[in-house]
Amino acid sequence: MKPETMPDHLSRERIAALLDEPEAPGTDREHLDGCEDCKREYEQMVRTRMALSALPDLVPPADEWKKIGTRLGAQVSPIERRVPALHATRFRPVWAAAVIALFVAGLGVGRQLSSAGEAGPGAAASRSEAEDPAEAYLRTVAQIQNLRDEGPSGEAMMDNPSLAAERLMRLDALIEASREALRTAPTDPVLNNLLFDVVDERQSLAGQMDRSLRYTSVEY
Amino acid sequence: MSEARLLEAARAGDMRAMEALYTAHSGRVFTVVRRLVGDDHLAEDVSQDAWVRAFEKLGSFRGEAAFGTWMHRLAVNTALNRLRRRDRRPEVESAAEPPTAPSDAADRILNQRVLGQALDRLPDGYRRVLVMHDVEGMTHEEIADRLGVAIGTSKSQLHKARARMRDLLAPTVGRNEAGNHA
Repeated sequence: MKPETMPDHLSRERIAALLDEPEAPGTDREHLDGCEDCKREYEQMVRTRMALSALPDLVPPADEWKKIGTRLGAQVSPIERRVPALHATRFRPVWAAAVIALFVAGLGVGRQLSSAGEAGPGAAASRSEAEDPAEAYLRTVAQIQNLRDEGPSGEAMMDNPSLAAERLMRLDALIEASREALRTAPTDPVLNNLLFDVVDERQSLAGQMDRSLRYTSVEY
Repeated sequence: MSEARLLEAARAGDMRAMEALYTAHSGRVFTVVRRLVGDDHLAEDVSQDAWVRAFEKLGSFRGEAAFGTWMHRLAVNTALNRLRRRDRRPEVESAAEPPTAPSDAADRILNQRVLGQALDRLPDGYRRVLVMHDVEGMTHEEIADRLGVAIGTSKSQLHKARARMRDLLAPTVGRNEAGNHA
């Protein structure tokens, strides 16, 4: 190992400090300007620093998300935690509660979709307030199912990101509405199936969008 | 989907949303963690810890900064905490072989693999300051704050780290080129 300082040269530590003091006056700077060896060392440090700042991002291990997901899975099970499983509860018709919940939910969906400049089922749900509860229930469920089923094909959405984003918003609104309704009617099988269908589609669509986004640059 | 909506969904426990956030930022997180800790296996462990903590604490993320910024900070803190635990053991420079030089002399100093190897061989204290300042672009004020040391200590550690890097890289750069500097 060489000594820390050489009689006729600056130490590496001192040269390293000069990297952060490019305009610093003094004998060290004067020495650097006049000494070819020290100047070369300085330039090497500048190059090293530039190379360090330009190091590319590394790729995390391929199974990292799987491991994280496993660790999170012990604590987070989003759907199961919020919605009682069908097999866990005895089915009991809850028409009256479901009707109220679905009206609320329908209005909620309508508000969210109409705020995006679209006609939603809210108006229809409002119109049905005077109807027989069972009929109103079926009508509202049908409206939500239609809302779920309508829209562009998966292929069209992948070609047009704005269509996919719009569909995702629609599904989010449906999920929120279904969850709201399930707070009042947690064992209703129709509502549960609707929610599961919509969540499945949302996950699938989000996955497709995510995969397509992986090939675009990410801004920080 | 916007990041705000992803965050909202992730807070509600949506694993897909969490995965999308992970996918967008995992490279950056793993990189800073790996560079700070200087070891593949430890980096994998720390990176996982950082993400699990992030999703557990997502409710406390108020959106005052971008998620990427918040996550980066959390990853750095997780790595620094792990290094602090390791600090309790005597710090010795890695006994691994010196970085091996690529054949093209003109590009040797800039070779990323060689730089990475040299970084890994630095003592933890030098490496974390060098990575935070010269790689991550943090100021001495930020570094001092994160490490709980004086600004002067941060500067001194940085200068020593740069000098040590030159020692480590000198065999690959060539003694004549490196000159007679200690």
